[in-house]
Order: sequence, then structure tokens, then C-alpha cells
Amino acid sequence: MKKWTLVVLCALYLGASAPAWSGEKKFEIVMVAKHEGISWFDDMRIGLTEFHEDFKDKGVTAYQIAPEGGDPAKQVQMVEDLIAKQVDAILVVPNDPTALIPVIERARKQGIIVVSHEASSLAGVADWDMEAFVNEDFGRAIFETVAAGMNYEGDYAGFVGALTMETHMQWYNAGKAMIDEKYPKMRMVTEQPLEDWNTEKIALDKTNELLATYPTIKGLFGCSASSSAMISLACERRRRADIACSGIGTPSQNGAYLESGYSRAVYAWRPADAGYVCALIAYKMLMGEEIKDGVNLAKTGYESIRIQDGIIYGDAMLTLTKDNYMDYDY
Amino acid sequence: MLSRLKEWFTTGNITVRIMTVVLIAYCVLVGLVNPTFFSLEIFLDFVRNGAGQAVVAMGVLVVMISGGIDVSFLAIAISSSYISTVLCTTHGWAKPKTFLSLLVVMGISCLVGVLLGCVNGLVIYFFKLPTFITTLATQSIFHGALATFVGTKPVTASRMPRSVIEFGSGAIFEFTSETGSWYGLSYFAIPVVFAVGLTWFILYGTVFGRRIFALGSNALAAKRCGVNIFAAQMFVFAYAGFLAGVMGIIYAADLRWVNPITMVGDELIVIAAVLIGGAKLSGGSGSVLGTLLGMAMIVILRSTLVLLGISSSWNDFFIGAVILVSVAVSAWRSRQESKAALRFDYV
Repeated sequence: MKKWTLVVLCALYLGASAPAWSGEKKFEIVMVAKHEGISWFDDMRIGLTEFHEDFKDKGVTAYQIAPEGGDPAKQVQMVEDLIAKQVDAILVVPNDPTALIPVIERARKQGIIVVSHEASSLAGVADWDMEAFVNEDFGRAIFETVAAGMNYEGDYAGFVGALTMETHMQWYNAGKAMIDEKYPKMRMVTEQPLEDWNTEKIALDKTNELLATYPTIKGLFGCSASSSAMISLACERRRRADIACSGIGTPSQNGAYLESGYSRAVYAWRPADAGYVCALIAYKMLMGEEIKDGVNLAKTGYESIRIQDGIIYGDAMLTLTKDNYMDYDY
Repeated sequence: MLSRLKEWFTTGNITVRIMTVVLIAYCVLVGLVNPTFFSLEIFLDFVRNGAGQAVVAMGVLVVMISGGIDVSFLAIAISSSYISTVLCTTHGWAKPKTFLSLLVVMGISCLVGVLLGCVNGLVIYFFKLPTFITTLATQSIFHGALATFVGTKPVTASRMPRSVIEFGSGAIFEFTSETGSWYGLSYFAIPVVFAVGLTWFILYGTVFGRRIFALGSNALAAKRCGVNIFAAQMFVFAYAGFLAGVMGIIYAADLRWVNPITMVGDELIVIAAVLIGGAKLSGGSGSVLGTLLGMAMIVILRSTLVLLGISSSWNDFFIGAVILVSVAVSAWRSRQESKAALRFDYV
């Protein structure tokens, strides 16, 4: 008899509390960025904070964490901690995508939604990978600017972070292929792009060497964020405004060179928007909405997304010129 | 002339001699592959590219002669240049493009460098800790403290003090090439000459310098002879910090960019240059000329990849091989000397 009372009481309790649960559903969405304290991810945090403000009335908590020093192992640990904490969605910009695969799989097994950014190799592992644009288009834009600046003829060269860096090589390969096809009068002086290992000093020293070795160079591309400002700086020191420089980079680092004309244009995307959009994808999934072609993800360039092989593509390439770079603070 | 060259060659420091030969041989090799190498433009670029490391290598040399090793100098360099440029930009100091305002930036940077160097010296002296472990720890501490308490926002070209930009772009004399490129001897040559001259004077021209050698050869004997170990050790680390401060500003001026989260990680290249130049990890030996040649070796090895059209893996291979050979030769040489000293007919 006693047992029955207990069961009934339990059932009553559950029955009473269940509607209360569904009534105030609370979601915790956490972004694990690459690196603590650098301006790129400080800007991404702005996006997460904005999302939090927009959706906190609907019971959503969204915030960003990141490992000090960009340590891949620490990042894995952070994702593990979030699994233990049983958050609802994890957004991640991986330092080392392969190192994250096991934890992402574990998170998904526990019903946590995972959205990655800047990691197309995680398509199919995470629920979605979100890319601000098609990488090939981005590379072609950089090379087109260089080509136009050198009047579609002459010698050129440039940088990637390393020949093994996935996105850098995607940009380079697409851009180079386009030049070879469209502008036969252009010639790349080195067989491979130079590597700067994402270090400004190496990029600058190698550009100096490049310009001394090949005085005929008319254009320089920077497919790594460290090199874009440095190629412009090396040209400025040599007072060679005739050399066309363009690359990927941040408005803050390249502003001075866009202003002086030693950089023709710099390409980027807005980290804050990327962060916001990743959070919105997770939220829509938590609400049971389907993510499909043409869905509007609120931010400029993400109004009508395109989906291919588990990757969500926006059209959010940002072209920075001397007229608009000061509108952005990262 | 030829006989004097021969004389120098047979009597001079063995490491310096070997270095000179290797350096000349390598330059000839590069010149054969790509004759552009023998141009003034490329040579002047070497001075610019290697200036910062050459300055800081002098500090590392002094520490190594004293029997220690310092791996925190690049953390000190980034800390001092970041603190200095941030202070100057936020307070509007050093704005005018004058020598005086450059001295302000440089002065703050050196002061921070000396202070951090003193932290190293104090910890090492009072806790009697090995210098390697201590500076390895302080490297992380300085770097972490910088990011935590000062900030992580890079100083960009638009915010950099004008005087620093001018220091990085101005030249003592300049030329124009046929293609319209300007090149010249960078102002960076001045701090290099200053650092080399000062170190030379301290090591070979003062009693204090001889005490540093004594400390490195045999600390106990030096103490018995009345060398003030505390003063010597503090000086050595403060001096390394001071030169790191100078290097920090060279770096900032060169790149027009100070990012507090980068630049720690190239310490071993500088230490390698000092080692190639004949310094010993056990202390008591090393030379200014050797270090300068070692630095030249590394800079030339690193800056001829584009000329040779080879990948950077070759670079690592070359640098490794040069270190190994030079260390092996100096070890072999000192063994020969001890053997010679043991021979009775020698007495």
C-alpha cells in the first residue's frame, strides 16, 4: 500500500512539474573560440553577447570561452568540460579540427548540438559546419585585385601560412588557377607560395628578400593574415607604390596601408556575425526548426544560406578598402 | 697583407676561423646559384633583418659567459616594447617625429627590460636556482602577466608612435635601383654597433668583465678571489634585459606592429647563434666577434631560401648541421688542449 502511495505521489509530482519544465525551456549555447584575447575573437564575443541580448527573453544564455594561447589540447578540454556541464549546444572554431573529432562525437551522442566554424573538414562530424563564404571565391577575389592592380601582366608572388594549411591553400589554389586560365601574361616567380608560419617577422623578411631577388615583381598576394600588412609595409619602405598588394587581414592591422594605398584591398569576414550566426543555427535546431537552403540567418550576407555536404555557406565576404575599414573594430 | 691574413688565420680563435670559412663558402655557393646574391641591396637587408637578434644576442652572450643561460629574453623584449608603445600611445608621448621622442620610447622599453632582468637575477641569486629553469619559468610569467595585466590588443601601424615608425623606415644613406626601389643602411645599424661596442668594452675593457668570465669558469674560485657574485649576476641579467628592451623597439619599428601574444619561441635561434660563435653552455668562454659571425650565419641561412629557391625545411637542416659541427669542433679542440697540457715534455 505504502509503495502505491509513493508511486502515485511520484506520478503526481512529475505530472505537476513537467509542464513547468516545458514552459520555461532554458538553453545554454557556448562558443569555444580559438584563442583568448586576440582582437578577432574579441569581435566574435561581441556577436555572442548580441545574440544573448536578443534571445535572453526566450530563456537562452549564450557566451564565449577560449583557451589562453590558442592551445589545441586546452580547447579539447574545454569542450569536455561543457559536455560534463550538459550545455545544450557547443559552437567551436577549432585550432586543430582532427583533435576535436572524438569529443564532438561524444557530445553529439549525449544529444548536444555541435556547430563548427572555419573547419570544413568537420562536415559530417559536427551537426553543421558554417563557412562565411565559399573559400574558392574568397581566393579568387584576392588574386583578382592583385591582377587588376598589375594590369593583368607581369611577375607576382605571395604567401600562405604554410603549404599544409587547409584554407590558405584553398584560397591560393583557386586564385592561382584563375590567373593561369584568365591572364596568361602573368607569371608567378616562385614555384610554390612562400610560407610565413603566421609570423609577421618572417613575412616581412621574406618579402624584402623577394623584392631584392626579383626586382620585376608587380604584384603580391597574402593568403595568410600575417603577411597581408607586411607585403604592403615592405613595398612602402622601398617606395614601390606601383606594386599591387592584396590579401586576407583585419581592418585594424591593415588600415594604415589601405589609407596610404600600399594595400589595394583587404578581404575578411566579420567574426561577430559568424559567431551570431553559429549561435542562431544552434538555437533554430534546439527549437526543432529545419536548416535548409535559403534559410535567413539574420546577419548581412547570411540572409539566404546555401547548403552543400554538411556545410552551411553564407555570402559574407567583406571587402575592406580605405573608405570602409574604419567602420570595423577588430 | 696576405701574410698578415695568414697570421690571423693560424693564431686566431678556432671557432671564429671556422665560422669565417664556412660563411664565405656558403656565400660563394649561394652566389653561384643566384648571382643576385652579391648585391648591396641584399646585404643591407641582412643588416635590417638581423639587427634585433644581433643586439639581443650580445646580452645572451654575456649571460652565457657568466655560466648561465637565459631563455626569457624574448618575453622581456615583447613585454618592454609592448608596455612602452602602449604607454606612449595612450599618453600621447613620443608623438613628434624626433630623436628625443624615440629616446623616450626606447628609454621606457629599456627600463622595463632592466627591471624584468633584475627579477631573473634576484630569483636566481637568492634561491640558488639553475638559470635555465628559472628563466623558463619567468618567460611564462612575464608573458602571461603581460597578457593578463597589460592587455592583448596589438599596437597597429596607425597607432604606433611616429618616431618609432621613422626609426624603422629611415636610413643612414640610401640608393635607388633601376626599378625604382629605395634601399639603404637602416638606422638599426646604430643600436647594433652600440650593443656590440658596449659589450666588447664591458667584457674586454673592464675588470668587471673579467669577473664575469671568472664567474663562468669557476664560480667558487671567483668567490674566493673576492668577486661579488651578487653584483656580477645581477648585472649580467639586467644587461640582458636592457638589450632585450632595445631589441623590442627595433622589432616594433621594423614591423610597425606589436602583438603581445607573439614572438616567444625564437629564443633557441639566438642561443644557437651564440653557441655557433664559440660560447660554451658550461660558461667562461665566448666571444663578441664569434657571436656576431654566428648571428650573420643564421641570418644569411634564413634569408637565402628565396634566392636558392628551396624550402624552409632545408633551412632547419643547415642550421642544425652548423650548430652540430661548430660545437663538435670546439669540444674536440678543448680536448686536444687538455691532452697537450698533460704531456710532460710540455712542462
